[in-house]
Amino acid sequence: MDQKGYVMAGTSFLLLIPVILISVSLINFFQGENEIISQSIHSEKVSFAAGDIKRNIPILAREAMLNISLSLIDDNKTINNSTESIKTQLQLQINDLTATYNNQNINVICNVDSIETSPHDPFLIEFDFSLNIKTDNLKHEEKLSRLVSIEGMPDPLPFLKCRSYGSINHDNTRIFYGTSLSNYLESKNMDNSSYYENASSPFIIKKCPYEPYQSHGSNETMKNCQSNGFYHYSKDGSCYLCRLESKETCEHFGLEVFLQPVPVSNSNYSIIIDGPCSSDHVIFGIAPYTGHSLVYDIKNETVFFLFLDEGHGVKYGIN
Amino acid sequence: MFSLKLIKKLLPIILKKSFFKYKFKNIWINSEGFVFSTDLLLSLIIITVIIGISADAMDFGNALVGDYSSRATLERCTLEAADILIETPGSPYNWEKMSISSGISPGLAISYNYTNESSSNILSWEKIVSLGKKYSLLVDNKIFSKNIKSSIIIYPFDRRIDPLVLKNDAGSILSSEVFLVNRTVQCNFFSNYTVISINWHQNNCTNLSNNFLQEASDICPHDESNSDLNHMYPQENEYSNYWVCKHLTTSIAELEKTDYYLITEPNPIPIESVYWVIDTVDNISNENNSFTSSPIKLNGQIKDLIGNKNNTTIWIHFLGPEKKFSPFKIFLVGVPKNTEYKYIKAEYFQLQKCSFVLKTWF
Repeated sequence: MDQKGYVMAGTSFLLLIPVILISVSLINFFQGENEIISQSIHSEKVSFAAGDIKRNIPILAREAMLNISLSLIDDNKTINNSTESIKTQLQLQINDLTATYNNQNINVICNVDSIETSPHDPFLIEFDFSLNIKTDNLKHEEKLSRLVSIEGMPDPLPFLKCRSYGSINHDNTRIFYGTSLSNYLESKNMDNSSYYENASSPFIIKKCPYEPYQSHGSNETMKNCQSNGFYHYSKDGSCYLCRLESKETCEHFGLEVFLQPVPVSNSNYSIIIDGPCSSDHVIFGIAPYTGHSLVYDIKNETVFFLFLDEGHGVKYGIN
Repeated sequence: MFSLKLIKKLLPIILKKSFFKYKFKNIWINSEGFVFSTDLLLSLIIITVIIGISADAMDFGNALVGDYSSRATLERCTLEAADILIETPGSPYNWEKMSISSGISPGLAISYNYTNESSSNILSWEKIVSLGKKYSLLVDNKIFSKNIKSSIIIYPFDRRIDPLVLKNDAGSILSSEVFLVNRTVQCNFFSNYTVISINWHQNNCTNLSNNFLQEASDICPHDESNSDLNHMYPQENEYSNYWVCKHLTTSIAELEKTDYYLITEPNPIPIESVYWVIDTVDNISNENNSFTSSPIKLNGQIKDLIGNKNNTTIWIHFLGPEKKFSPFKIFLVGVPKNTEYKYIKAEYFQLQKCSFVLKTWF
C-alpha cells in the first residue's frame, strides 16, 4: 500500500457524497410526483362513482315504485307499509349497483333514508339518501334528496278496494270495473249503486293542465278532461304512497280523479237525477255521499255524465 | 610537522564541505520538507476540472427541472381547472343569477335541483355568458395564480352557431409556454325555452299500445266521431297523414314577457303537406296553417285565444306525412321578449355538441 494512493481515493470518495445527495433528492421528487398522480386518479374514481350513483338513483326509485304497484295490481298482493316496501325493494336494486363498485376496491354504501310525498306537489315523491364512498385513503359522504314524478304510473287504489267484490280489469289506459264497483257500493248501503255497473276510470296518472279548476265549468273542458282521465290536486284525496296502502284519504296533500259511470242512451238518462258522488275519495271512503248528475258530453245519442256534489261543483266551477 | 597539524585541522572542514555536496546531489530523492506530493497536485487539477463540470451540469439540471416543474404546474392547474369548470355547477349552484361575485366558486355545468336525471358534461348557456361578463373577477386571480393568463373559447360543432368567446387568447402568441385543454361537451343554449319539441319521424316509431309507460300523448279536443275532423284515428293508407297534438299552458302575464315562435328544422320543411292548427278546448278551429315563413310568431293568435281569461291551455295540432320522407323537427319556443332575431333558429333550441378550449400561458 502506497501512501500517495490514499489521497486520490479520499477525494473521489468526497465526490461521491454530492452524487448520493442529488440522487436521493431526485428519487424523492419522482416519488412525490407519482403520489400526486395516484391521488388524483383515486379521487377521479371516487367522484365518478358518486356521480354514477346519483344519476341512477331516480331511475331505480321510479322502477321500484312501479314494480310494487304492478305487483299490487296484477299479482293480488297487499302491503301495509308502502314506504318500507319501496325502501326494501329499492335498497336491493341499489345494492346490485354498488356491488360492481365494491369489486373494484371502492367501498360504496348507499342507504335509503326516507320516502315521502312532497308536501307542495302530490305528483312528486321525495327520496332521501345518504351516500358513503371509501377507497384507500379517500372518503366521500353525501346526503342527497331527489324528487321522482309519479306521472305515468298506474293507480292501484281501485284494484285494492274492489277486488273482493268482483272482477276488475284494465288495459293500457283504463280500468274496467264490471260489477265490482256497484257491488262495493251496495255493500256500503248506497242508493243507486247500479249506475256504476260497467263503470270505468283512468289507469295511468296524468296531471290535469286545465288550471284553475274553475275552468272545468265549460262543457268542452270537462269533456276533454274526462276523455284524458286527468288527476287533480285535492286536500281530501290520498297521495300515491297512501294509495299503495289502500287508503282512500290521508293527511298528505293528495290527488283525486273521477270514476265515470257507463254512458247511457238519451232515453235512459232522463230518469237519472242523483247518485253516489263520482270522486274516488268519496266512493272509496268510509261514508260515500250522493251528488247530482252532470252531463259533460253527448255523442250519437249517448250521454256521458258524472255525479258531483255541491262542494266539488264549486271546486270545478259547475253551476 | 607544522603542515601535518594544519592538515589535521582542515580535514574535518574539507570533509564537511563534501558532505554538503553529497546532500545537494540527493535532493530529488529525499522527501523531507514537502507538504504535497506532485502526484497529489496533478490529481487536484483533475478534481477541480471535474467539480467545475459537475457544478455546471447541476446548474443546467436545475434549470431543466425548474422548467419542467413550472410546465407541470401549468399543465396540472389547467387540467384541473377545466375539470372543475366543466363538471361542477359552481357554488352556490345558481351563482349566475347573483350580482355579487365574492364568495362564488364558478362552474359551468347545468345543475338540476331535483327531478330530471342530470346528465354529465352539459354546460348551461346562462352560466357561460355570466362567466364571460365577470371573467376578470372570477377567473383571473382566483382560479389561476397571478402569473398565469388564460382564455376560454367554446366552439360549437354546428357551423351555423358562432363560437362563444369568454376571453380571447391574443396574449398567447408572445409567450413561450402555452398549454391547451380541449374537451367535448354539450351546451344547452336556449333549450330551457323550448316548450314543445317534435321529432317527426321518431313519433312514428313510438307504438303507444305496447308499453303504457311511454308517455301516452293526450287526447286533444278534436275527437268528433266524424273522422275528417278527428285527430285520433290513424289513417289506413301508409301515404296519408296523421296528427300530433300537444298542449301548453300560458296566461296574459306570460304573454307580456314572452314571445312564442314556431321554428322548423330544416327551414323551410322540404315536404309540402305539413300543417298546423292552434286552438283551445272551447274555441276549436280547423284552419290549417302552413309553414311558409319561419320562424312564425304566435303571440297574436294566442292573445286572441286567451281573450280575457287568466290561465289558458292552448292546443297545437300538427298534420304531417306518415310515410318516411326526410325527417324534420318542429319546435315551439317561448323566449323572453325582444330576444334578437338571429337567435330564433332551430339550432339554438337543442343541445349542441361543442369543443371547450381552455388555453393558459405564462
